[in-house]
Formats: sequence, structure tokens, C-alpha cells
Amino acid sequence: MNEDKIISTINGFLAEEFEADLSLFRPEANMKETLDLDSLDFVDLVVLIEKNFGFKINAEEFTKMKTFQDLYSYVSQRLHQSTPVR
Amino acid sequence: MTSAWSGRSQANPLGYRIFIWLIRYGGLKPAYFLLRFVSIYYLLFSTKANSALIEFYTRAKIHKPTLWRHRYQTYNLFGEALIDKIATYTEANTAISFDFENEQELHRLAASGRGAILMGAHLGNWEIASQLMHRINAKVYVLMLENEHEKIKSLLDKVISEKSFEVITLTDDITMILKIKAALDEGAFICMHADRYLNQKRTLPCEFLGHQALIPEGPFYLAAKLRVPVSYVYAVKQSGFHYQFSCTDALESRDLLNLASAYIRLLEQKALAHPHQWYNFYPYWS
Repeated sequence: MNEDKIISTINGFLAEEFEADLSLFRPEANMKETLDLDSLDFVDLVVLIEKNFGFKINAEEFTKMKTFQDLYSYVSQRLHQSTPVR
Repeated sequence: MTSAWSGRSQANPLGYRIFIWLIRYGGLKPAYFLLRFVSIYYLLFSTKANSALIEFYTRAKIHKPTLWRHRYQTYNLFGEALIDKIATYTEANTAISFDFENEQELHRLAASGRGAILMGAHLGNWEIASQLMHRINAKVYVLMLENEHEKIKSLLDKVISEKSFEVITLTDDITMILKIKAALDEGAFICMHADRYLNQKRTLPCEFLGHQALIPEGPFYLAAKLRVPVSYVYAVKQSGFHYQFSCTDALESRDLLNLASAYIRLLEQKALAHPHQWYNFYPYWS
């Protein structure tokens, strides 16, 4: 999956799940603030990533993510070393 | 009006030190004896807890809910629960015994390797229930608030011989969620309470003992979204030193309201059956 496809897939499910305006999804924007995420929303985020990209989230790496670009880069990087979801 | 639970324990380090000493060198009976005076203190001076308990007894339709002996019994049983917990942790006394109802369900869940959420409440002795988990062949994590005074924590750490579970600290951030997710992915059990909330924005209204109360959405949300089985677990004191541990057959549902509804119906049954082991000492109803 190329970079553009990764970004459009992520933006697509984020906009749908969190009912957010796509125009606010700037790479440098803070994801938590833009999507108004609380801790339980992160459950959805984790489930969506695993479902759409087929790898398991690494807790330590995931907590470091702040911006949309961090998420795009994380997913892109993981797809190149993916472990299938059970 | 319902207020979110503050999460702070009212225990003090000196009290703990005295009780730990008594339990280790005298056993349960002298500790229970001293506890009577502590219970009287709470009965006389804990105004908010007293009124919250009277409200609960009234809703539970206990005969003469304002009688002092009901509150005294609750404070005493609560204290005994703490003493029994310490005795179990420190292996200071083997007088405590258990029945384990439906234990095979937990063995079945452990063998499935899918992980499970075990939900309880502040009713009975939840900490002794966690300690019983050594009988199950699964890693056990208990989700709890860091609500004890630092001195009490270090005091308990010194005397605890071995805990059969690990703690995941209850926070309002993604770290906790990811720890829970990682543990479930490993096939572990996550034990948590589902009767108190910290964040009023994420609550579910439900009818409890005929009146509307709020319970936290989080436990049910996690179970529904992560699609893991849920069992409702309780350990209630039946007599002097004897507990009954019970767990329900596992439920699975993508609808968190189904899970919450089953939880609250069982909580209601347990609260009515063991009204003096209800340990929510704050106004519970909205």
C-alpha cells in the first residue's frame, strides 16, 4: 500500500468514526485535539487500525504519536514489517 | 445528586501498621476485635457515608434502614474485608476459607486464550477475589486507581508475600487502554469494577433498585469494542471467615447496553442478598 492510499484510508475511517471534518486533518495537527478523542475513543482508533491494516498495535510506539503525520508514518512503517492480526 | 467518586482512600498509615502487626502476631480475632472501635468511630463521625448508606438501605428496602446497627455492620464487614485481604496477602492466617462457584467457567476462558474481562463491584471482598485468581491458569491484571497513601502502599509492599495479579493503573489516557489491549491479546484476564465512575461524560444511566443511577461506560465499551468475553465476579462473606466466590457464564456482545444491563441486574441481586456488604460510601443515585 502506498503512502497516499494509507493517508486516504486513515482519513476516511477517522472522519467517519469520529464525525470530523476532513479539511481539519492537516499532517501537523494534533490528532487528539482535532478529533476530540478521549481514552475510550482510542479503543476505536486501535480497533480501526488493526482492522484496516492487519497488524497489532505496539503500545509503546503508539503512545508517542501526537499528530496525524505521526500516525501515517507509524502505519506506513508497520506495514513494511507487519504481523498478521489473529 | 450523584457525585463522581473521588477515588481517595480514607485509611491512615498508623492504623494500617497497627492492624498488620495484630494480624501477623495475633491472627484475625484480635484484629476483628480492634476493628469494632474503628467501626464505631466511622458510625459516629462519618456523616456523608452514614447518609449514603441510609439511602442505600432505604432503596434496598431493609427493615428500619436508619437503625445504627445496619451501618455498624457495614463498616465492620468493610474493615474485615481489608483485614482478610492483608491476612491473605501476608499468608498470616489460614483460617479464611472459600467456596468457588462456577470456577470451571474461568478455567474454560483461560484455556480459550482469548482473554476476558472480569467485572465486579464495590460489594463483598473484591481484593480477596483477585488473590484467588492464582487458581486459574491465566495471567491476571487488576485495573485500579492509585488511591492509597504512599506510606500505606510501601507498608503493604513490605508485608505482601506474593500477589497473584499485576496492577494496571486506572487513568484517563491511551496508555491504560493499550495496556489492557495488550494484556487481552496475550489471553490474560482483566479484572475491573463497573459500579463507580470517574468521568461523568462517559456514563450510562441505568435503573438500580428502582431509581436511576449512573455507571461507567468504559468497562462495557471495552468489552463490546474489543469483542472479548465478560464474566461478572463477586466474593461475598458468608460467615465469620468464609467467603463465596462466584462468576457468571461468559457473555459476549457488541452491544454495550446488553452487557451493562446484565451487569446491573446481577449487581441488584447481589446488593439485595448482601446489603451490608455494599461499600459505595457516597450518594449513588442521581
